[in-house]
Amino acid sequence: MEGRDRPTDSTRAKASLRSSFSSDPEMRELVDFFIDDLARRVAAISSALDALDRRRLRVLAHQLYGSAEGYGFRPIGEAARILEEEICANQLDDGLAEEVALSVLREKTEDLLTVCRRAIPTPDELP
Amino acid sequence: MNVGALGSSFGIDPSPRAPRVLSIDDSELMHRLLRARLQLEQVEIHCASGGEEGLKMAGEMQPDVILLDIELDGMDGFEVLQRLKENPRTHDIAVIFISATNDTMDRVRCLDLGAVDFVHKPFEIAELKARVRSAIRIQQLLRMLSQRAQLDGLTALWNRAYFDQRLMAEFGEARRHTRRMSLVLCDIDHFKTVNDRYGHPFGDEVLAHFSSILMGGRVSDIPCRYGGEEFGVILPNTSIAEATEVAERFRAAFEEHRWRRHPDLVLTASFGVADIGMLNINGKSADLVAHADGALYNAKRAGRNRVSSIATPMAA
Repeated sequence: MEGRDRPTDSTRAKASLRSSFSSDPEMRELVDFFIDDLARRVAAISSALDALDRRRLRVLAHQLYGSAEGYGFRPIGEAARILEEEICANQLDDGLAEEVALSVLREKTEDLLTVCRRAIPTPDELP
Repeated sequence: MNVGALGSSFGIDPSPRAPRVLSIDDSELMHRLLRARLQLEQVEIHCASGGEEGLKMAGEMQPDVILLDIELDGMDGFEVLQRLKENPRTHDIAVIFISATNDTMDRVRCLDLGAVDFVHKPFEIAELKARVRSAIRIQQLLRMLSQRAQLDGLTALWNRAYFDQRLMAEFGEARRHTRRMSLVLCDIDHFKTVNDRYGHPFGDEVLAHFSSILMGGRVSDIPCRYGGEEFGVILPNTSIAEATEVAERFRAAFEEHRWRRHPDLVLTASFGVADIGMLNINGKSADLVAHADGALYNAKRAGRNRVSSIATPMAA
């Protein structure tokens, strides 16, 4: 673990996470779609982790990294980026012991799942 | 200007339309985002979730710009781009890569393979919009230049180079789909005498007027200046009987025209018609031209100012 990214306090926080576009009425439908889709993605990421399906996990993380910020959820994109990089690094790092690699993979995946679960829809009453 | 059904495959817009953008990305999240964020740009957005589907859609709908992800399930973005560039129907489409890769060599490879731009994921929507607008603008300018290079300056008809290219393409389509297709070759009678007697400016006026008659034909037909006072009209999905009727209308319209500066002058033209059904199974587009040319020769020999669909033995 030494020298590797540690989960930050912010990704551990329990506070809910709103889209940075939540005050934009034109983005409401899009943000709500993202939140709906996120529930399915969280389930898919959990399944991929349980199955230790790195390839699937990487695809799911990659898709979130590319799109989450576009929906106003930068922290999710950032956590997905860290997970994707971790998976790629593990593939290349032959010297890393398997159990350590797995532990880091689980940790980064949990970080992503935690931040995903914090995401909430746009409030009904816009300011 | 008639351009016909294959116009877009030659880089020519058959009619003004909203620019089309095709997104090839395996993420539905990205498709939704692009649709929502580009909808105010007055572009049509189409989405494909994989390489094969994207290639198929690109060939069919001829987008102006493709937004292509590198990391796709199955065929990756590099291979998709290579295949787009290998296909004459898609090789001119502007491709912008959208990818999360931070690898400089990946970006270099994208551009070397023929992509026009690269946008890094996650992207700022304002930047993506500006890059799409820029690619569309350049595409439209290239298309206009290409179109001008294929037009005859005097008559504004398609030129000979375009005729050869388009005839071959239409011939191939007709063969593939077992469709009818005809060709009309025509020639203004005694044109050299018109030039000698009334001067070249009037000769040019005659050519321009004859061209306007050909342009006033059916929307699906493709009139071209074949060379000098000779013209060719490609008629997709047309039997020889229908093509003969079309040619007869051209002939009558030209003969009936009264010239303002020479009211007593009557000018005529001769027409040779051939259709793909005249050829054997191994026949080529050049054989269709030879048949139409033979029929034109026959019309001239029979007294001019007529339409013939019978090729002379020599030409056949």
